[in-house]
Amino acid sequence: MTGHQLATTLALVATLVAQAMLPGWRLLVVTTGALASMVLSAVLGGVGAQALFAQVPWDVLVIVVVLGLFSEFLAASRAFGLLAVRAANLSGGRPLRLTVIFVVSMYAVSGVVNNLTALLLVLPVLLSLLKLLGTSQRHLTWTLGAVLVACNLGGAATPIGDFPAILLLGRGAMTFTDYLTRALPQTLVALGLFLGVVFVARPQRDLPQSPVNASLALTTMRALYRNVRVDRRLVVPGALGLLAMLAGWLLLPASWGLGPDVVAWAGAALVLWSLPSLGESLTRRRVDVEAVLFLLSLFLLVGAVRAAGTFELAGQALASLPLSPKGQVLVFLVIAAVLTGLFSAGPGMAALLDVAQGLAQHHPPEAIYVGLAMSVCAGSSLFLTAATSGPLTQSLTERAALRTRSDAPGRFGFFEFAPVGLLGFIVILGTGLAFVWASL
Amino acid sequence: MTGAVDLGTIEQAFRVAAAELGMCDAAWRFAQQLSTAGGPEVVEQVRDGLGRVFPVLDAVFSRHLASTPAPSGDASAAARACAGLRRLVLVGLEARWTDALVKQLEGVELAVLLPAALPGDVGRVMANLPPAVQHVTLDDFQRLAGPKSGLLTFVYGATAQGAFVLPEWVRAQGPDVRAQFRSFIGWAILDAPPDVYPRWLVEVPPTAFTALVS
Repeated sequence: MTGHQLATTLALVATLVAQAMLPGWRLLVVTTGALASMVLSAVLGGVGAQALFAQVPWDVLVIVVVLGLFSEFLAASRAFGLLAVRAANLSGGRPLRLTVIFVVSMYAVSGVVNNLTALLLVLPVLLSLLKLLGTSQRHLTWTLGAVLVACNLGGAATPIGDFPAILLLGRGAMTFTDYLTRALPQTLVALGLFLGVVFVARPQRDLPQSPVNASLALTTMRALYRNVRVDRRLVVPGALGLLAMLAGWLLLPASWGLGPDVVAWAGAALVLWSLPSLGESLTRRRVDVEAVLFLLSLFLLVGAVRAAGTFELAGQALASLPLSPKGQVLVFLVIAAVLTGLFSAGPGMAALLDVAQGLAQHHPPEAIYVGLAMSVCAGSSLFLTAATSGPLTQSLTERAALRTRSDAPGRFGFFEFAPVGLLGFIVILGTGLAFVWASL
Repeated sequence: MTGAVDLGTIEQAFRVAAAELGMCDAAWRFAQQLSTAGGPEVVEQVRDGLGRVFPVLDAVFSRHLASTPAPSGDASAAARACAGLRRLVLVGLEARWTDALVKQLEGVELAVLLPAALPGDVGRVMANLPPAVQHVTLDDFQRLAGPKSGLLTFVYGATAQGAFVLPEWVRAQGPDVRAQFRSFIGWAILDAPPDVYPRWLVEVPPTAFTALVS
């Protein structure tokens, strides 16, 4: 390894470790790390800053921004809040049924809108309902933990649900259809297995049934939404825009040169123009600058390492492992999952995709890429800190000031999530590995 | 746990409901639902367990147990008291009464100042009201001041000596504000003051209102 390779790799690893250890300063850490990486690359004889900026996959950033705006537009329609109330009614106030229905709902919602928006839309309703119904620490832990795992699975199920899949789509590694037809069944199987274990674990077992509380909770919930209506001015263009985007992603021939980024941009523009005042307001105020800066910094960090040829070295090291080619792929996917658990999904995917591209030259690319997406999804579920949705859930739960039936504060932190997260990790990774094994 | 009733959970549920529906409206809904699901003995049990914490619940449950029918939320008297106003700030929220009043005040610029003691989901509260109704706070409600502006609050029982209102009312209609608004309307939604210590409420002289309707 040359000094240049070592320096840029150390800059990447140090930044990933620092951002994982100092989540409150995450943005400052990664932007500073990106700056250090560019300086090191230029000073030590690597490529200059201009070349690194030229390597940034801007189309991926475009997709992140426009789908974020699309999510905000749909959120303003109140459709998801009302769906959550429907889900509450459907549960009949029964704790296990409530857990399962919200897990499935979260999976479905986070396949369409980004994970953070999905959580912000569904979680407040769920927390209100748990306060009205009463819950135990065990039930709370399993319910919120399972919802988080479902959120990650839903995000991995479609090419627009979360950043790792968007990266695959944006960089042209996979087409929309290829990703959807492979990832959707895998995530559904993982969800089914995970729910099966939840059934066996019986999270509601220390929660006595109370028909009085259940009926009180459901009627109160209906009262809290008594006049709330879906805003058709938003939901109709939102649905049409989504359909148009899906049609574009599925049907437009690649020879036209209109990639998924252009389709997403056009779809979002169409939707935002349907109500220009809201569209302008969202575009001015609700662009997720934090996500853009974070991802841009990661791309620069990874770009510097790539330009130094380090990923090729990593690929060679992987190929030299005394294992069969299948075994090498599985080792890579397990390492990818653990690294994602430690460093979170964005950095994990951005750094590992280059290594995966090396593997994809010798194996079916779709199997490798979707396997990587599943590994990243598993890693995102390992620890509460592995994806931004974890800390958000923790803070929303703290803000809800929920008390359990034993009159103790309802907690949902790192240690409460750990057993559910570990279960999710094992189930998702196991499912992903099984599919990859069968495809190779 | 008291018998079949989990008072801790009901208290938590009442806090959620009272924060977004108002204490009186939530209490009537709870009384009816508990009565349907568990019978009058459950209503009595909850009143005895939580009545001292929530005096409005205590008053409402007692009325329910005495077979007083739940109020329909008739807003005609309050709407008459608001005649001629172009802007109205509602200090506090009681869902069934607010919903009824808002329907009768078309053309009036309306704003709601939510109580701070029991914080709820402001977005959800406002989503239940017409889009034109604004959410204001104690810091900015005076932008609705003017010669045809009024403040209205809910009164949880009144006598010749005093009326029980939310603390926000005392802060909203101080001497500086009284010169800026034309009407200060009290809307009595309980026929008598609470029997227990009026926690969450403050007593103001009836003269604080230019009109006190029920």
